[in-house]
Amino acid sequence: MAEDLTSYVLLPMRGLRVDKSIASASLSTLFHSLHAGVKKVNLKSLTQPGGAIAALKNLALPTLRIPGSTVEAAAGLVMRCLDAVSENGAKLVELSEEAAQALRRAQPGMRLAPVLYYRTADSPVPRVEVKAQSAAAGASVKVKITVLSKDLKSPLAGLRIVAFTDFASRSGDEAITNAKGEARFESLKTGTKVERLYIEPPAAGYHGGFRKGVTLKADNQIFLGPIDFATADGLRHYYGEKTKDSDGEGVKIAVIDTGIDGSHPDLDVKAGACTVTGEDPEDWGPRGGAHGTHVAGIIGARGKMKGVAPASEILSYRVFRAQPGAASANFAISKAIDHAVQSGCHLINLSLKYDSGPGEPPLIDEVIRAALEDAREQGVVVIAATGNDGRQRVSFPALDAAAIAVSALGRKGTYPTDSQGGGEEMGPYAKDKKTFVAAFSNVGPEVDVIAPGVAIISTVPGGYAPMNGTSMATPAVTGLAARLLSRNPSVRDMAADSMRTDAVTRLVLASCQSLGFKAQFQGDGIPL
Amino acid sequence: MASHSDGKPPRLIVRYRGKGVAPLQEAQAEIAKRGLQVVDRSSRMLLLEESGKISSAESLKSALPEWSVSEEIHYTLPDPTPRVKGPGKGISRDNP
Repeated sequence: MAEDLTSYVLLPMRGLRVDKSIASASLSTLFHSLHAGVKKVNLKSLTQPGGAIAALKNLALPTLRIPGSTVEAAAGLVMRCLDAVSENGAKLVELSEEAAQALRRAQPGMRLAPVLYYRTADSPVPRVEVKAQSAAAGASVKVKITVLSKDLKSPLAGLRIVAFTDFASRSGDEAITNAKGEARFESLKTGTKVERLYIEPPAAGYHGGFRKGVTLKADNQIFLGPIDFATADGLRHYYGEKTKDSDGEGVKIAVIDTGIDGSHPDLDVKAGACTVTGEDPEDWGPRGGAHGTHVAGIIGARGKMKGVAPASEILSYRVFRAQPGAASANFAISKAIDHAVQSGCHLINLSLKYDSGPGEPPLIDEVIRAALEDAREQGVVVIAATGNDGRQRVSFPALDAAAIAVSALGRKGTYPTDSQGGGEEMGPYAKDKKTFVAAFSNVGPEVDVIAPGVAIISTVPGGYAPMNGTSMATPAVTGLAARLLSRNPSVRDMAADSMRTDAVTRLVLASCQSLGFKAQFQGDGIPL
Repeated sequence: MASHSDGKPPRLIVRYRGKGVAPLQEAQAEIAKRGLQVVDRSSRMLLLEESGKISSAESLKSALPEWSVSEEIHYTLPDPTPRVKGPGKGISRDNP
C-alpha cells in the first residue's frame, strides 16, 4: 500500500540514549526493538491492550479513557527504522502523520524530531517582495476612514487600520484613528480597491472590523459592534455548557506572560512574580500589556465571564518588560518556569514564541529547553502556542517535544461576520462547514491539539475584549487540562515527577475529538 | 527575532544541568575569574554580563562541565494581525 511517509529522528525526552533507570519499560523495549534493517514495526502493540493501555493500568488511573477508535486507527500503522545511533540510541525512522500521532500518544516520554537539512552559505538571487508603484489615475484625492461605535455612534480613537490592496504581497497602507475616529492614509486615494481592510479592536468593549473588496470614497465610515455575552464566542461554544464552578479545583497554573490584572472583578489572582531582570520582582501586574489578563480569563475567569476552569489557582509570572510590545528574554522565561515548578504548579501556560527570521531554521533554545526538561521531570505540563505566522512552521517553544503544542481554530457564527474574526476564515473546513483552521495559525507535525482562538472574548484591564491568536487557543487547553485534573484527582495528586507529566499529557490527548482535519492542523483534535 | 539589547554585547546564561541543588557559589567563583558580572539569578541559573575584562564563554564551558552556557535571546507575543509591507500596484505615495 502506498503511504505518505515522513522521516523523523526518534529520541528519548532527554539526551540521545534511553536511560533504563528512568525510562518506562515500554519505551526502553521500543528503542531496543528498533534497529536499521527492521522494515516495519506494527504500532498496534503500543496502542492496544497489552501495550500502552496496560502501562496506563499499571499507573492505577481508573478514570483514564482511551477512545476505542484510537486503538482501531492505530492497528494498521507502521513505522520503518532506517538507521540507529546505537541499540538504545536515537533512531532515524519513517512513518505517516497518523502513525506519528499514535506513537506520541502512546509514548509521551519520547521525542519525534523532524529531520532538518542545511544549505551551504552562498547568496541566493534576491526576490522582489513588493510590487513597483504606479501613479493613481485622474483627479483622485486622499481618503479618510472614520471609525465609530455602532451603539453610541461615538468616535473610536487610537485604532490601527490596515488596508491591503494586494493581500498576497502584503501591499497597501496603514493609519491610526485620531480623537475624532478619523484615519487619513498617505497613499490611498478615491477609487482605490482595497482587497482586505482590518480594523484593530479598541482596548475594551468592542469587536474589531474586517471588510473585503471595498472601493474607497473620499469619506468612509465604519461602525464597530459592542461585544455581546448573549452570543457564545468560540470558547463558550466548545466549553461553556460543560463548565462547572468546581472545575480546576486543587490545580495550580502558572501564566507566564505580560502580567495579570488582579483587580479585575472576574479574576482571583493573588500571587506571582516578575522575573524581568532589573524590575521589581513583586510587580506581576499587567505592565507588559493586556495579553496576560486575557489569557488568565480564558483559563479561570469566575464572574460575568467564565473561564474553562474557574476554580483553578492562577499565578501571574510577568516576563515581558513594563513596556508594551517589548520582547521577553529567555532568561526571564526560564526563571519563571523554575519559579512555577518550585511553587507546585501542575500546568504552565506559554502563549509566546520565538520569531525565527525568514528562511532561518527553527530555533532550538537550549536554555528554555533545559527548563522545560526540568519541569517535565518534576511533574509539570507545559502548554505552548504554535505561533501566528500564517500556516508557517510551529515556533519554539511549542515545537519542543516537552510542550503540548496548540494550533487555533475558528467557528463561523461565534463572532459578527464583519468583525476581525472574518479575516481569519480559511480552509480547511471541518465536516460541519463552519469550523476552520485559523488563517494565522502555524501548523506542522509538532501540533498536538487544536482549540478555539478566533475572536475569543476575555478579561482585559478595564473590561472585556476579543482577541485572535494561538495565544488564546493555548489557555483554552490549559484550562481544559485543569478541568480534567480536578475531575481526576488520582492524577492530580500523583507525586510530582515525570510519571505525573505523562499521565496528565495522556489525559489531555485522550480527551481529544477529531474535527476531521489532517494531523498537521489539529494533532489529536480538540480536547473536550 | 533574536535581539541583543541596545547594541550591547550579548548577556550569557549559565544553567545547571546536573542533579540536585545547583552549586551556585562554585560557579560564581569561576565566573568572577573571567571578569563577568552576575546580574540576575534563579535556583539553577545565572545571568552574566561583561564588566570590561576578558570574557570567554568557551573557557566557562570547560570550567563548568555540568553547566550549559548560552546567549540570552528574546521572545515575542504571537501577533495575528497581518502587516503591510509597502505600497502596491495602483497606489502612489506622495514624495516629500
